[in-house]
Amino acid sequence: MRTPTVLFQITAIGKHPRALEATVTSVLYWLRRTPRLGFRYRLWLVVEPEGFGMSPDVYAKLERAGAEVFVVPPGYRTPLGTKGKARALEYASEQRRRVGLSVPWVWVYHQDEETCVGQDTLAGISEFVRDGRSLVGAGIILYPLDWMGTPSHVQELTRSYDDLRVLDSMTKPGNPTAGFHGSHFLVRADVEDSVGWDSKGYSPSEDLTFEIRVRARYGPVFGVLKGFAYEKGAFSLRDQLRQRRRWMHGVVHAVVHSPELPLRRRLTVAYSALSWASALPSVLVLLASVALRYGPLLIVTSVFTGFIWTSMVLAYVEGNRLHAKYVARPISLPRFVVNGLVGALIDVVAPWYAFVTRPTLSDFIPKDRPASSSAGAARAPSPVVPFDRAFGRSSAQGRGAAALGTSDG
Amino acid sequence: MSARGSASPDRPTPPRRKRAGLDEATSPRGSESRAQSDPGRSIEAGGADVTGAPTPRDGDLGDSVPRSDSDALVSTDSDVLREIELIQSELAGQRSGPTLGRPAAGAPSSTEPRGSDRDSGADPRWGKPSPYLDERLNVARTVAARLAQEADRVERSLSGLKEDLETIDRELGHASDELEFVRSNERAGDALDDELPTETRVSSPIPSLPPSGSFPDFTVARYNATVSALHGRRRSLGWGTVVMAVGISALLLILTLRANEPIPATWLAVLPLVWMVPVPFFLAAFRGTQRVLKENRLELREDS
Repeated sequence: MRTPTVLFQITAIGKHPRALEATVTSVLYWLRRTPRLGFRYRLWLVVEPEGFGMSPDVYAKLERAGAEVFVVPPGYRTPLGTKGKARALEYASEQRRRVGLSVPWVWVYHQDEETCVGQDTLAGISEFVRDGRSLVGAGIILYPLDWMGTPSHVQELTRSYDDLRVLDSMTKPGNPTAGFHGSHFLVRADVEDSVGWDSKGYSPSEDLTFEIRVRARYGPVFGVLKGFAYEKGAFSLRDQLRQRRRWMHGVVHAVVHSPELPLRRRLTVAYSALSWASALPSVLVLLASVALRYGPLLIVTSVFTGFIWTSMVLAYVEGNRLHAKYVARPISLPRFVVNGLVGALIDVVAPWYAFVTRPTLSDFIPKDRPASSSAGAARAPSPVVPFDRAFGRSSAQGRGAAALGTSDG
Repeated sequence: MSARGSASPDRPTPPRRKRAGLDEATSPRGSESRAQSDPGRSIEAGGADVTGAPTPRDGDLGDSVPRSDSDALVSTDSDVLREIELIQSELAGQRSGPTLGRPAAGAPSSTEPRGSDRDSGADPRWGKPSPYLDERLNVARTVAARLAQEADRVERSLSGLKEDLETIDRELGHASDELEFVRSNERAGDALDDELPTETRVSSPIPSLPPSGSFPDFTVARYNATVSALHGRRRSLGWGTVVMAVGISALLLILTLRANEPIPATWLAVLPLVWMVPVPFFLAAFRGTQRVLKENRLELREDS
């Protein structure tokens, strides 16, 4: 039996060289320091010309360190003319086929430019490829990099806990709650290349489309990938809003423009989008109930209101606990609550913002920490009581606002 | 018929040293030793006489050369048999003539062209054939036949050995690839080490687990501690959620009933539906989270 090869593929525009460098370095660092890895590796950087042109020195250094850099040619066009990240992914797929890497013993681990790996990530990948029973695997993503405790960062905590829902949904036939990732997923190269990333025009949810295609062609071949991946949240509320808008555009695009989507699956994806979109009306109804005094509505809704509220709070609490060993500077409880509410508000508004705006290729948010934030982060440690300790083990339990949406991308 | 002639040019080329040793071990020493112990009756010389082909020299890998060690043995045995047949036929012819027999003391040397002997028929220098010659020839024939059988057996063994050799060749090739791969990674890693801060150049997992947001601290131990704690909380998370949900809902219900507010207009009655939309999603998420924590121990082996 051949030793599996894992192709670490970082697909990005490439305009954030510091994040990219940290990602590459994390891979090479842990490859050297993780014993008994059951795979060979290759490391591909697939970037756009504009990103490459910004920091050729960084790319040269990464190449010397062992990465293989692929710049998507400006004139490259897929058969269906897809754009954005899907185009770069399709280009990488073509390169794999060209050099004979599109075979069953090669696995592709997909990373965004800020997806750092740890020893656990590599150990999880090794276990997954040695097992070989599933063709695609995804795992839990944490967001400890450049953590500053801002509202958008606090909001990201809920995504990590929501990943447990994603893992369950993904491994069930039909993926009932539409869970998948655009990074930190592993797929066998021949499977990926047989399905491809090409689609008509701009596909803002290339990951969801890909998951739908794989499931349609290969069935429920998804498994849980052990080990975390480590990313960073949006640096500002504006970035958070743009990122969420892109997700919602992606879901809508998948529902409307994915001919390979079976009706049942189309309904579940549409329902996921609807449940996310219902957050804003729910808040408005609540406010109206208080202001206009039609409280009897709560007789109907109160049965489940407690459950939803609890679930939302639980996502923050457990998300924070998942990050407790990774976030060096925890924030105070009051600040945590306030920032959580602000971050949740952005998530509530985002789908409607998406409905009234058009998809754009510029919705990819910065991943290099702004210089001003960096200086601020270097200042004295903020606060104070670790949130985990403040809440204790028997804290409020519930599910977070992130569950309103998908965790895609 | 040199043993080295058995080296097949179309066989995958193994590492030289290993290959040479194995060739020596499996070469048909019998034929060589026979030739050396009976210099006056060299099989090679006989073979050359019979076939008329030049005797291959070291390194001469022409088509006339058998392509494997077993072929060489079989060919040698065939030569012996042919030689015996020739001698027998010659003797039979001489027995019918008056002058055929064993060479006397002044018999011509084996270097003299024997073709001329055959052409000339009976040689007066040959004496009367031994009365035991037939018997000896029969014994020789039997031995030669046994030798042929042995050669077959050796051939079969050699073919198995050949497969083993090919396996070794293949594995040596893989090992060579692995070595090259490891060396290249070492080089890449060395280059990387120059870029890393000193404190990150560690080769063992970090024993303590202070919170950290940089990748050198993202160890399996830290991961396992996190997911184990999550697993440990699974039941309390489940029951805690149910208790809290019931408590909050009950409180809201009580507050609503005690408020004694007027029932809203009918059109407002649809508003609860908005609230209900995400309920199935949240229920599925709750169940899924519990299920994944129950079914899938996320821990990794510490030594992996």
